[in-house]
Amino acid sequence: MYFQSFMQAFHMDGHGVYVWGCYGLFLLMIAWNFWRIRKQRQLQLRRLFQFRSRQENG
Amino acid sequence: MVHFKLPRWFHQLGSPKWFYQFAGLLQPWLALISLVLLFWGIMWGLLYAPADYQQGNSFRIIYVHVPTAILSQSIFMMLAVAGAIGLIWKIKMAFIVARACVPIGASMTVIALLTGAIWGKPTWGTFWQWDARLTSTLVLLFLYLGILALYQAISDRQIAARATAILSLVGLVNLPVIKYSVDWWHTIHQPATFTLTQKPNMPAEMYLPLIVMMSGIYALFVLLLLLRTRNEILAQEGRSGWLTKLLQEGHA
Repeated sequence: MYFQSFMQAFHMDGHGVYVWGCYGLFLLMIAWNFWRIRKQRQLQLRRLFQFRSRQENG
Repeated sequence: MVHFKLPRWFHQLGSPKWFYQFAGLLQPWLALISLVLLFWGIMWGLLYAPADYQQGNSFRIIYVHVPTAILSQSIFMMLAVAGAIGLIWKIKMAFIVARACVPIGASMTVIALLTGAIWGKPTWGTFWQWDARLTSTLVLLFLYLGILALYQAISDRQIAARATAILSLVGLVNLPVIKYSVDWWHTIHQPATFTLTQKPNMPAEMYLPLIVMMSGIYALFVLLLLLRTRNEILAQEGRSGWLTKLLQEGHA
C-alpha cells in the first residue's frame, strides 16, 4: 500500500474528503443505474402479468 | 472478388427476440468481468498508486473522472450512430439500443462533472469555471437531458425514436468541441491524459490502474446497456408470443 496506515489513507494529507467523496459518488451512480433498471424491469413484468391475466379472464 | 460476409449472429442482433436471449446469456459474464476490473481498479487507484508530485493525493480522482468523462462521450457517439442506423435502415432494435444509452450516458456525464468539480477545488481552488472544457461537458449533459425530455414528451414511440435520433445527430457537433476544447482555447483544464497514438505522459504505476478502470467501466456500460435494452424490449414487445412463452417457462 502507498499509505503507512489506514488513518493516513483515510485522511490523504487533507485530500481525503475530495478523493473518497468522488469514489463514493461513482459507486452511488453505479448503484442508481442498477436500482433504476430493477425497478423498470419489475414494472414491465407486472404490466405483462396484468395483461396476461386480463386476457385469460377475458 | 473477396466476399465479405457478416456473421449470422450480427444480423440476428436485429431481432428483439434473439437479442433478448443473447443478452441474457452474456449478462452474468459481463457482471463478473466488470466487478473484478472495477474492484481491482478502485483498490489500485485509491490505495496503491503513487500520489502525484504536484497534486498530491487528489490525483487519485483521475481514476473515476477520466473513465466516466470518456465514456459519457463514447455513449453519445453510440447513441447517435444507433439513431442514424435506425433512421436509415429502419431497424427497430437500433432505436431501442439508442434509447437504452441515454440514461446511462447522462449518469456518466453527471459523475464526470461532479468529480471534475470536486477535483477542481484542491487543484485550481474553485469548483467551477466557465471554461471551454467544463462548459462543453455541461452542454453534453443538457443534450442528454433534452433527449430524455423528448422521449417523455412524445407518446408515440416511433416518432419519439426518430425525433431523438435527429437531436442526437445534431448534438454530435459538441463532441469534437469537448475533445479539442483544451487545445483551441486557453483553459484551466489539463490536456488529454490519454491519446491512442502517444505513450502516456506518466509512469506505468499511475496509468495502469487507469487502463483497468477504463476496461471495467466499459464492461459495466455494456452490462447496463444490455439490461436496459432488455427492459425496453419487454416494454415494446412484451405482448408478443415469444416473450409470453419465455415468461411461462420462467426464463425471462
